[in-house]
Amino acid sequence: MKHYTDFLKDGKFLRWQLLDDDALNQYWRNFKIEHPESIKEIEQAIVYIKNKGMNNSNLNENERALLFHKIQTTIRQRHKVKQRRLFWYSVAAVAILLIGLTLFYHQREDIVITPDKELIVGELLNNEDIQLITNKESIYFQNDIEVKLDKGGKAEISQKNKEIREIEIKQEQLNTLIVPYGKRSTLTLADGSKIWLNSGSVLEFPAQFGDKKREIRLTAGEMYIEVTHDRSKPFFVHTSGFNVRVYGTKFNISNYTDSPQSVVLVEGSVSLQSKGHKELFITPSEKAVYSESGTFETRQVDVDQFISWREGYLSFDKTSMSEVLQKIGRYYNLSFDYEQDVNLQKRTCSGKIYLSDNFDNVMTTVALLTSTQYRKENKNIFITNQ
Amino acid sequence: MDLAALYNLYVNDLFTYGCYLGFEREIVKDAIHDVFVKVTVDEGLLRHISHIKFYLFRSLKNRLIDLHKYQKDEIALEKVDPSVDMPFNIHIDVESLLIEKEDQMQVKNAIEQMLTSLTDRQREIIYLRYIQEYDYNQIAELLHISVHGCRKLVSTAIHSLREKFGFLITFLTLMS
Repeated sequence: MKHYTDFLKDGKFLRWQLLDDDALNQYWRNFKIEHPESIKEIEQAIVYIKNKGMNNSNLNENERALLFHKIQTTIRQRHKVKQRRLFWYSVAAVAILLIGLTLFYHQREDIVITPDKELIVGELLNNEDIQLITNKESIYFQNDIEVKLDKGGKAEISQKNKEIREIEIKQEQLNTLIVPYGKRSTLTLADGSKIWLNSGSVLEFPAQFGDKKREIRLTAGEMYIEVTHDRSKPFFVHTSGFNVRVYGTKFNISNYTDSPQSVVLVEGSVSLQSKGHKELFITPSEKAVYSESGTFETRQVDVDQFISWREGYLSFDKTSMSEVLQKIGRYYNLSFDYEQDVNLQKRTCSGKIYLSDNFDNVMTTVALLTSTQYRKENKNIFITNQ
Repeated sequence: MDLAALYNLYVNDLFTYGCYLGFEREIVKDAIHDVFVKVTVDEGLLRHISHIKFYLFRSLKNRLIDLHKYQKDEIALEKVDPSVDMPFNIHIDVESLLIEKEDQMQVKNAIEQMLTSLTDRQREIIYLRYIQEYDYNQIAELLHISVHGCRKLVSTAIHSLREKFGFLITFLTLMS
């Protein structure tokens, strides 16, 4: 009796399978009638070619899971972008201030993956260049830069290990400084005010300020600013959601789209205004978290946690793993993702993490502080239970 | 059907199809990524598409054609027709056949000989028609050709296989 592999070697059989025609169909119909004992073997041969022989995917399980993970991450990001942020307004007249903003989007019914509940997967993203858009032209920088504007419309740009570069900046147009994830920069404005821009920030600023007021716009990200005192010209920081008004002070604004909207006051006094609600004054070391209804909830915090990024370290006090990873992710341009019910993310972390150039050192510290283990494979980071 | 189910059901077929069209693994993965993102983000698509598998295949192919044009443009500026120009090579897997190496090679050779005697487009049609079981209308759409042209490709393929590998059968059929 013929074995199914005999059929697979048989030209007649293969032709019939690949491209049947009337003659071949007739032939094999007769063959089956004459050799009923072969029917099973023929069927097996067909199943083999169709499911395996000519259609064998060599995508392995790992690749399959990672690709799905990537698809989900992109979909989540796209949905976030689609949401619009709610408008709120605040005025500040303070020493040091920090505002965090987020959008309250409706978490979509999540699409299920759950490869392993106690696993957090991170991916190192490609580093992009810092971009300075001025006079309708873009200038790119691979490393963190320091930009200094002078009163004559010149900008001095220094980059680590490189010569200082000087460019002319036109008076009339707004300039944009884009600092991608994984990078930081500083900018000294024409009035001497100094800005530290954190990873993932976009700032619009003029070469010179007008006569009545000073205005800049933080479109995204986080910045710390020391404003030069000038009573006659109030300083405004605009964001997509609200404005901050100051008269010569130091403060920090965070305007990331994926963190809770909040204000942290370090020194002095600040008032927050949201549409349709009474102005709210908060006191130093107080954090006000904005809610969708337009109200704020306040609590006492350790201010250092919110401004230490500028000094090159992150400080945590019983901070959740998810928040720790979010901050580290921004700094090193990593994307972490996990299901809501992964218990690991609820682990808390207390202590300081120095933002060293060696990423492995940082992850080792995180693993130590949270009693987890981490493993790095190419661009992927896997965090698991100890 | 949710995304995970859809993905698990079709990712292997899509990946194989992309690889057979001659693209690098990573490029195929990127294209699959784009297809699933599009199908999910453009709301309601999952609910409104009746032939979801065909829709995925067509989206993948179109995405790959775009990538292909882009690659070509970078090399030479000549205009290429992707429906003619793209390779199509079916990989024959015999590893899972629980037989001796020699037999495995024989099976592999037998199938490959037949496939190499055909053109890229004819191989693609075989894959789409026989393995994926699409009808002529769908195949024509995937190949960017007319249904008539598609049928013609099939009949010339049948003809050439018969000439090269089927003398005996033609003979037997005539006798019966």
